[in-house]
Amino acid sequence: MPADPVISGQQVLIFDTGPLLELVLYSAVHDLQLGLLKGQLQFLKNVSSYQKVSEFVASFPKKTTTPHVVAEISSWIIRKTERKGQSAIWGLVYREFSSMRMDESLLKLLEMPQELVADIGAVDVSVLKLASSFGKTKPIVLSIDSTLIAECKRAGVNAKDLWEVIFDNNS
Amino acid sequence: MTKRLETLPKKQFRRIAAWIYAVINPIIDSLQRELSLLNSGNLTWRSRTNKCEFIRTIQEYVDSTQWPNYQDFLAEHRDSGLIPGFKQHNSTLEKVNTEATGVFVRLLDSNVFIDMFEAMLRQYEIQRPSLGPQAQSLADTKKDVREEAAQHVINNVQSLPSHYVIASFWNSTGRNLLSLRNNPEFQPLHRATETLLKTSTKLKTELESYRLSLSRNYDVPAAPVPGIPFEE
Repeated sequence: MPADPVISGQQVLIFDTGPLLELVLYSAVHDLQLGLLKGQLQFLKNVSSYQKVSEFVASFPKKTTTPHVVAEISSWIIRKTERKGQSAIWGLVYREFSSMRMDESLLKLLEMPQELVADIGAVDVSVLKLASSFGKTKPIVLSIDSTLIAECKRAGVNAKDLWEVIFDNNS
Repeated sequence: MTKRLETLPKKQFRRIAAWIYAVINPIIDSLQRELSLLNSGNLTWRSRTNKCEFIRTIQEYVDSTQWPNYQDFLAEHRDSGLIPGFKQHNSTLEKVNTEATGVFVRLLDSNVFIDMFEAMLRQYEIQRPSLGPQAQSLADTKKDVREEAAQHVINNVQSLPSHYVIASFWNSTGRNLLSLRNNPEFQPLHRATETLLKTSTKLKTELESYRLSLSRNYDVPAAPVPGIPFEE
């Protein structure tokens, strides 16, 4: 039986770029049959892993991210996909955001510690700072980035690797 | 014809290759995706834009940087049966978009839809405690959920992934609303969708056949092969 995040106080899921991209890519490959993108999927390689992640995400009443993450998705789309398919992929990004009722919180660069930004990058810091801002609500950061996960744990923020979600027998 | 082909300059072959790689192939690929969606009844119509998200006009299936090649293709095929096929596809798509928008507006105005939606939502709220923590109360966002449900009815959505907020509602009671697709109000949309399906099937077959004839006549492969320059 999966742990109930509401009961354990973990009501907010904060998305880093990787897991969001995986959900979008899975839809692109399976709903739109954009087979060329199949090779880009690193984690959600079958229905079972997709369902596990989908159910894990569903167990959080609130989902949020930062504009930095959106900018990173944008950059990925520009670099890694063909121009003619980009409009369709943005369509999927919008669908994921609206269907999940995704929230976004702005964090200004000047409000982030410069040394930390220089060390792990502005995107990771934005996610870490957003998580810290929730205080007692105990959000969970979902990422595929081991550096960010380590930094979150160092700062006392709950963080989960997408692999853990897929391979955790209890989730 | 053979003699003329033998004397064609090389640039002519490159132009044929441009038609195949930049125009015909992307359109065939997109029509294939379109047919797959249409066969499942998923129009991917969105109330945000009043358009089908992933079913588009023929020109939109071509990368915008290749539109000059698309225009070149159109200019050289004025008398071909393909161009009327393109036009019919686009006008039928417009009809589908118009009919879907009309159905959406009428659904949200219809007592039959509203009453059924309210009943399904009430039933869901009663079942909710047994559906697990992901089954959120939707009572506070009823208007948004109603619009989303109407969109799913139009798109014949059979189930939603768990992480979509209304998934628990839709996958338990909400999808009963799909029965409304059998109502007479849906008939014009179904007819337009059927016409689009037929038009796109025919167009895809014609384009594949034309690509084959170009490949045979000009010795241009149907897709570029790395390491094999076709123009030598």
